[in-house]
Amino acid sequence: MRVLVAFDDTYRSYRAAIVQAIKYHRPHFVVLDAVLRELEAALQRFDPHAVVCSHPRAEYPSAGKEAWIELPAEPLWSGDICIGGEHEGVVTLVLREVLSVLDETEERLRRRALAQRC
Amino acid sequence: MLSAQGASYDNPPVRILLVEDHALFRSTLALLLGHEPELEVVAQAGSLAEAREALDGLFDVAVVDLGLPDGDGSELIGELRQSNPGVSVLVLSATIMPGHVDDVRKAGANAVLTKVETSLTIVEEVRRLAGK
Repeated sequence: MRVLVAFDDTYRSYRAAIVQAIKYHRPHFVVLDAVLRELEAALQRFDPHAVVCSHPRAEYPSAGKEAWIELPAEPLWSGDICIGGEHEGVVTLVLREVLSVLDETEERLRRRALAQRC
Repeated sequence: MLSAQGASYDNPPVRILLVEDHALFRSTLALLLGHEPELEVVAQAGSLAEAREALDGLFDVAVVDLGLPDGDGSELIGELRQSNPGVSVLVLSATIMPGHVDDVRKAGANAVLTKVETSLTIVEEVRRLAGK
């Protein structure tokens, strides 16, 4: 499964740490990172199944991916988890929960059980 | 002889306090620090209040975010030095003005990094502060 992690350069440490952690725990995933200003191009080029991003999916015309985890850099701002078009609001997530979303996405991809895109 | 973390009894692991309010960044940074030889994250906090509850622990290095929900992380530095006189403090901040860097250093920070730095740089700085 292809996963793209995108945060603004002000939070490059977040981006780098999240990429490293996903690679460590899920070595079979292909994980890339992108700065927000280049996210649209990265979405088209890399065509990820799942995106972990500080901004909402709606800001990117090429979004339409199987899963989109919106997790603002400001920890008290609300975010959103979307898998197969189903949304759930979140405020904070820890690594274990992000991995769980990615695992569910992978499993539903395998079963072809993603009714819609995000 | 080796302990579970891979550090010898003669060379105990560096004990790290991690204070950061972004839960995902805190949990990933804790993982990355914990994978380093001789480093061990022994306490984590997401606010000044949580960090103050942890101050009875023993730490060699504290990584402290400035922008916490209940105040400025630099408020913690003096309290940390009282409870752990030998602690080294690495301050992290999303953005920091040059004048504020001086204030943070005067408050007792040993090093200041912005979150523009990669997680690798943060880990290397923790190792440097720990003398590893």
